[in-house]
Amino acid sequence: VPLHASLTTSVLALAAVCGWSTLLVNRGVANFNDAVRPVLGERVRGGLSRDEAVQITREMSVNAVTAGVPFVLMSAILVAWPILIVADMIGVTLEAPVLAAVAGAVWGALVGLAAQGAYHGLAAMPLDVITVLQLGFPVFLLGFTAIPVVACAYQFGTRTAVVAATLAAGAWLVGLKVQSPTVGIGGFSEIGSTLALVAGLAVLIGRAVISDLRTRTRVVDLEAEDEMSDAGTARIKANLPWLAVQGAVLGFAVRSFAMSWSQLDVVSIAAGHRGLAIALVLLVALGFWPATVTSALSTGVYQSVGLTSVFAVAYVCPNAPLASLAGTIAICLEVLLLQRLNALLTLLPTLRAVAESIRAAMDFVVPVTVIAGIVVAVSPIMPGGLGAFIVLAAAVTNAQVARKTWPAEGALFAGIFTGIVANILIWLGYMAVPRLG
Amino acid sequence: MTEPVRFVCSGLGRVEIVRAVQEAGGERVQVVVMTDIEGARAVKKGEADYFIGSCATGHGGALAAAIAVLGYGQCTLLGGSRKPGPDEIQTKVESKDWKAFGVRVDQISSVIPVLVQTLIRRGDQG
Repeated sequence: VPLHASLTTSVLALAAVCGWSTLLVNRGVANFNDAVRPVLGERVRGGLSRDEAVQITREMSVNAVTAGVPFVLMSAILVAWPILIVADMIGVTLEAPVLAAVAGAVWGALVGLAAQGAYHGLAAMPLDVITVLQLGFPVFLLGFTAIPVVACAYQFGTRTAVVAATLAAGAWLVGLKVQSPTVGIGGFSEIGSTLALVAGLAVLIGRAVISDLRTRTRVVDLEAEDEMSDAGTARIKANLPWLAVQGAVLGFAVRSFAMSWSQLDVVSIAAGHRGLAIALVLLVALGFWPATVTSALSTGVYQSVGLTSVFAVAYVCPNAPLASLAGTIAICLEVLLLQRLNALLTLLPTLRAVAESIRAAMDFVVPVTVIAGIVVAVSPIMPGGLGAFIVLAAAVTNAQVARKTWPAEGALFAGIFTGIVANILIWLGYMAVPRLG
Repeated sequence: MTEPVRFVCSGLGRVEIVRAVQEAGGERVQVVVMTDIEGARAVKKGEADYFIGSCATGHGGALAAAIAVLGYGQCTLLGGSRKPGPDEIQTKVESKDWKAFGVRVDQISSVIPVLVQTLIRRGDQG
């Protein structure tokens, strides 16, 4: 069952998240973009003028504002980038805290309104474009499950990847004993793919830890680590009440299905698979933790979504108010454990490198799997494979030549465009509304 | 013989960057892969000359650690949403004594050769 919040809940929850996030940026408590965090740290110390901070923030942020937009259009659930990257920019630009918070809230509400409008507009067409696009979800999710295996290959070579793939496939077969796959295009077992993803991740992390334990002769610059940690930890802990509120509003928005974190968990949630969404959050979180922990501790400015445990606990919770409470607890625990996590990452440098391999694997896997899923989705909607032709021509041209947007986003835009073209052909009487599924 | 220019590479496209740096610089360069924080610290301690980080946008993941360790004044982005031309890259690299460069993963092949050649020339000029 596809999940997403109602219009009212979505607008209110996103206004709260974006408004509070903007206030946190304005006060130098937390921000979203890891590269902008030192700007806030420097601003707090008085080493950077507002004009300089605004200019650097814009330069660092502007390219990422549209990340994930087509995923939002096909799910009516916001991912973090379009609201929180803009929250960074508003929070740095506007000096008055109340004005910044109000502007952030208005942005969040407008984005929520636009997302719901686009989603319901596409769904209301004679050929429901949303249902068409969602036919690709099982393929997307199957591909996302392969990310740890590809990360193993990138980090440790193909032999480790083969071990990971074998264990993942075995876990998948075990999962199929528990839950039969769905019938239809890309038949899908949530338990099977979740177990496979966790198995792949276990090999990736296990191999990294073993590798580090074998090379304990490495000299760790603990003095530099302590210096960096002490500088930031005290300030972040002092801001804990502000961050606790952030955990609450985020928890509410996430469990209301108004907001997800990344392009991966949003697909899983929109497809109704909360268990797999949790595993995907954990996967992506491992990819971002080192950069987040380093930049947070070195600046004293936290990450707007923390270490993203809020998303995982909110997906587990049975309702939004409880998720609000769980989100508060989760973000507070993160802050209290931040220094220990940094020490762990220092002692296990391969784990830190694994994070970069996960991000690299996402960059390899997501575009391919999204293009494949969208081709599967649009193939039945036009006669003679015309839909697949349009998507492949547009998506591959964008990915390899024109690069007007990210490859996965380009494929989704191509899918939306193809759905609209199919509706025009239906309106012109060229073809009848096809049966889906 | 002139000392080789020492690069550390990190991030999403680190393998591709190493290849591109070696192809562009040959014997004039030394290049190693490190994690972002180790790479930035190596540059700060003088154990390497330049840090190159990469991610999907060239911003967040590419330069977060380098900015934290080296400060903004020594870090810059090369490229962006629009693919930069060689002159544009060269002008940016020569505009200041940058120590860390952020590159978008899909622009590695066009940015890295110009970056490496420019930095080798800078080394030759002392």
